[in-house]
Amino acid sequence: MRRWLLLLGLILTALLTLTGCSGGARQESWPGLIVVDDVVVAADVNQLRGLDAATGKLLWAWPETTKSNAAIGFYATPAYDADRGLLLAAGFKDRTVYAFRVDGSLREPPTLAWTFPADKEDGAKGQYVAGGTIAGDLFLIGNGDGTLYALRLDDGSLAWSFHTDDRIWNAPLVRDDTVYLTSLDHHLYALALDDGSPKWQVETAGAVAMAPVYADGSLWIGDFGYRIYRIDPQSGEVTWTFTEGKDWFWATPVAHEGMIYFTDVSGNVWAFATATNELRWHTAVNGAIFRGRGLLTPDGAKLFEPDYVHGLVYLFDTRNGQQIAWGTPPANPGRLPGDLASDDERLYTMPILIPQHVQTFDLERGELIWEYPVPEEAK
Amino acid sequence: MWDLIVVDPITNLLLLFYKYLGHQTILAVTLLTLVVRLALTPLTISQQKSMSRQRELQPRLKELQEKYKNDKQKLAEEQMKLYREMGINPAGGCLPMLIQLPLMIGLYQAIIRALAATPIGLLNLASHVYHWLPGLSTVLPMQSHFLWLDLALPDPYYIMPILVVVTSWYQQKVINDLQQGTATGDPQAQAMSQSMQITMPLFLGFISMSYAAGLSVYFIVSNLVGIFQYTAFRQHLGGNTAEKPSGKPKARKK
Repeated sequence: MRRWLLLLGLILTALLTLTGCSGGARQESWPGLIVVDDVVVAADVNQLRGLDAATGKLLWAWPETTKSNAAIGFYATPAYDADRGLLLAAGFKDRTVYAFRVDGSLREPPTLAWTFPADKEDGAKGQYVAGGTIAGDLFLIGNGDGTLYALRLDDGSLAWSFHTDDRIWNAPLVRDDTVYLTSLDHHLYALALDDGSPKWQVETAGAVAMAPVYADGSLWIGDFGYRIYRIDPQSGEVTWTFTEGKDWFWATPVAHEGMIYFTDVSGNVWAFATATNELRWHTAVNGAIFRGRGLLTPDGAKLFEPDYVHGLVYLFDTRNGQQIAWGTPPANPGRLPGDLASDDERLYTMPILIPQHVQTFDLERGELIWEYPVPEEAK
Repeated sequence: MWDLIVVDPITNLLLLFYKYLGHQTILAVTLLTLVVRLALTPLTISQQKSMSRQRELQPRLKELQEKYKNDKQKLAEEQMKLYREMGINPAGGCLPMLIQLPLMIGLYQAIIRALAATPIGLLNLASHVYHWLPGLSTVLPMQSHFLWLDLALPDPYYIMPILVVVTSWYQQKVINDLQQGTATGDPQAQAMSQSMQITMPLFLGFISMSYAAGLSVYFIVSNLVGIFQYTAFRQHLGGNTAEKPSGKPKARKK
């Protein structure tokens, strides 16, 4: 009998392990935010939230209650069309794009204008990981089903779509009449903006999860094959390849006046001169994982990079890659997988695995200004 | 530590198979499951042999139980003496399972991790890949489409969970046939075996409905290997194990 009880105990232990009943927070993707007219619009998983950029005070939330929306999963960075007064967001779990009408100011609660799909039968089959790009009359957003959806901003109807062979995990870049799209299927695609017809495509060594960046007349991308590519936007010709990478290039690079900065998931930071492709400097932060997109100060003199593992933001001197001390990190920083955002006065992060979903720092001094929600001990 | 010793090696072995099997996730999962199950075969055989020998001992154990039914301490002493005499470790049936379970759980975790259905899953996977194995991390993320399935997501048509339930039930049936009347000959144990034949397949079916279809591939392949192994073992024993217990202890010839 004792042996059977032992066996039963073992099986129960195994089943608990298999079903993940051991507890722990689950996070599927990274949330993103934008700052518009002193309002932070955060895709805060359970709700889309508008926060006062100066104080962190909650201005509105959609849906108003969190009970009925556990299945939406707002992670994708929202987009704002100021001309039309449209705020766009996408659900990771419910595979739906939401457009909200903004009447006058983002400080007021927006109202739902349309959804894509209009009914649940059609639409995307995968998850919306990244936000979309507004271009002319269209909203372009990639999905985990490998498809780029071009939606009419007026009513959310589908103008055209383009299918790739793997997941799309970043927003496309639009320049003039061309859409540049990356996919985990190891390709960069150039499509006509008006109908989605392909112009050219470039095959890469590894999956491409970052968005392409335009700098100095070229497109720049990095891949999971440890490579960086410089590509002619007209012809799709690869004009230069950097093959000395050490790990996945995942974060979208940032560029400023003749320089472009790449990071990888092993904590490396690479600075290239865009005129000559020369590697100006390289530095590494031991144990760091750079996944989120960094940002530059308005003068381009300093580079902020979010470290996923330690939940810290590192600051670098863009002249030489020297690390600069910046503020005091929060006691419990969580993890930082998402992109950094700024309004040139404050720096905004969206940590995961901690109760505070938005943290705001003074851009100059690095001091924590506010957190949302306000920690219990600070109330 | 668990990751370092168990899950990481299995994850990287899976990625290695994936790399050299034409980036076919289903083939990589199948091969990995086969390799792990075959590696555990000596333990499975040892477990079955131990249980078989204990079964042979049942009549003598029953005699002892009858003889010392009013003296538990003496009964325990005599049982241990008998085990020693026959060279049987009474825990021999469970010990192999103690070793097998962590490996099977590690295999399960490695498959879930390598399939990385979500962006955070893939990000976490990045730090578990062996960079010293050339080209291993560049094959990620694994291609997850196979026929109607996205192996990183649950099967929307429930075909894989049904196959898991059917193969699990059959494997459990083969095990029960093999173990019929073994161990203690305890009716409670037999009831538990019967109960397991229903609950285990249903539970695994539920897991398969809720988790990545790649995990269902693992369950199905593992069950098929199990069915083959236990059937072969039953045949090796000459079919004796499939006999129903008579309920009456046989007298031991002296």
